[in-house]
Amino acid sequence: MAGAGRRIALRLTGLGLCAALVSACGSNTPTIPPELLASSGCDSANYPDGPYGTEEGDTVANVCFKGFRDPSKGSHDESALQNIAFSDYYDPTGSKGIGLILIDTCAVWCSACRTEHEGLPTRNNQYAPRGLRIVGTLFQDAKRDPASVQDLATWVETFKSNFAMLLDPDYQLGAYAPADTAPLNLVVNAHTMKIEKKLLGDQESILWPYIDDSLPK
Amino acid sequence: MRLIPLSLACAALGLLPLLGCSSSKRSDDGKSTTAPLACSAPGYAVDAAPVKIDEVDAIVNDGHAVGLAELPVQVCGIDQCFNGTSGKDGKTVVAPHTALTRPAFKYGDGFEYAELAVPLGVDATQDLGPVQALQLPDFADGAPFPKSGAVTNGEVTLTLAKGTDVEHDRLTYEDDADLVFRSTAIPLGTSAEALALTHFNFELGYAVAPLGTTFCPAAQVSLPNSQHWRSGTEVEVFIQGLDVAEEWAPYGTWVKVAEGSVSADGASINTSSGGIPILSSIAVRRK
Repeated sequence: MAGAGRRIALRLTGLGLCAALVSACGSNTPTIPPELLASSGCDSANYPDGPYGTEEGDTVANVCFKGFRDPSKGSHDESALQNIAFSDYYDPTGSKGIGLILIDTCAVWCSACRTEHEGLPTRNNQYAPRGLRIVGTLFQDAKRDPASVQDLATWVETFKSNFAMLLDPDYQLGAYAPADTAPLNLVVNAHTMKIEKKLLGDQESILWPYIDDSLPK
Repeated sequence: MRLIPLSLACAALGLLPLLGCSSSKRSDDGKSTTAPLACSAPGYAVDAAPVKIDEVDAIVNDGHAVGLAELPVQVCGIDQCFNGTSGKDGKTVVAPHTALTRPAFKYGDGFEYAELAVPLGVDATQDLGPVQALQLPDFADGAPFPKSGAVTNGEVTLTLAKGTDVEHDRLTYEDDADLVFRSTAIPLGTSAEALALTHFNFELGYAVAPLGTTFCPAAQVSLPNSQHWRSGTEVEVFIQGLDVAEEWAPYGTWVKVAEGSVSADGASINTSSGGIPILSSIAVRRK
């Protein structure tokens, strides 16, 4: 891992401090196993040890957010926010039925992000049964200010998101790519939490064949 | 800078928006019946090869050679956006250093300033020179959208048929107070945006807000005949796609959405077929 990436990773590791937040969980689709539904939110026990990094082949540091685990159900106000961490999707033994995690950044100002998210619910329906979990993170609004709960609510209602959509107003995932290269797509192996693919921009012609080839048929 | 030529595909697709809405159908007994209005977006997405863009330079000014600072700009392909902000002298440099599909330079935030787009050429480094940012009227001076009838701001009047479905981009415009109609003329001067307009032989241009508002059925447009064209002069009305989803207009370029003519008294230009399906920059040329 490059020096800069190592420094970034250290910063990311520090973000684990958000473990003090209260957790709550909902379901995403009927394919989400009970183990995930029982997640402790920001709990990162048993998460792979570092070193962490930001490039393909590196292990992603655990990061915790607030968001909606299943926006297709329930309300979208502040009271419905849950603590959700990457560690929730770590599945070393395969007991959760998760093979890949697609971590996707988005912003309201980012036209390409909006276009991408129009198609993600269908992708989720298609690939969740095969072990994909999509985790979207909204980081800025139309004026490039930090995204708010209202922004997140409007986002999930606009795009009918049926996968975890999280708030990242501090742009914690800026460690992986600058804001102005959004969307960032990280394909992470849920068994190891290693980054298998890192794509900047909406490169669906590369991303989805890769995911399709990587998941069991 | 080399502008992307008017796509033949766009020209061929130009009439599609004119056909986009229907509000009635014939029943089995041959009588005309009222059916739920359905507007389907034509969709303009086409395959295109990415273009390597290293750097795009521009100087954002207020039209009086005064640089505008802190104005957001973007270099966006349909696949990725790169942000920038103008410096104190209006100078802006966006350096994607990557390949973008159908890139355009966008400037203005769509709130205080109109959002405009200049299609980019194929050169890796492009200097657009001066681009004129257009300040929109204050929100307080904007016109609320009626359920039907005319709504006017600046020189642009939109007329909504009874029962028109008006849908706003609530992601971008979160506050109800932002959802008022505002317009400003695009001067046909020497800025890059104006050059793009003249490339299509447009003679009138208007920037509008709130961007992305859709009308079903499409809204009729009325403009003052500021060019003093003869009564009956036929015109074509275009909109520019600012949304990479390209549902209603091709991204970065223009598509014909309506036809019209100068009124009998010569006072106004009015659409007679088609209309504005989505609020985005509007341009007019004579047929």
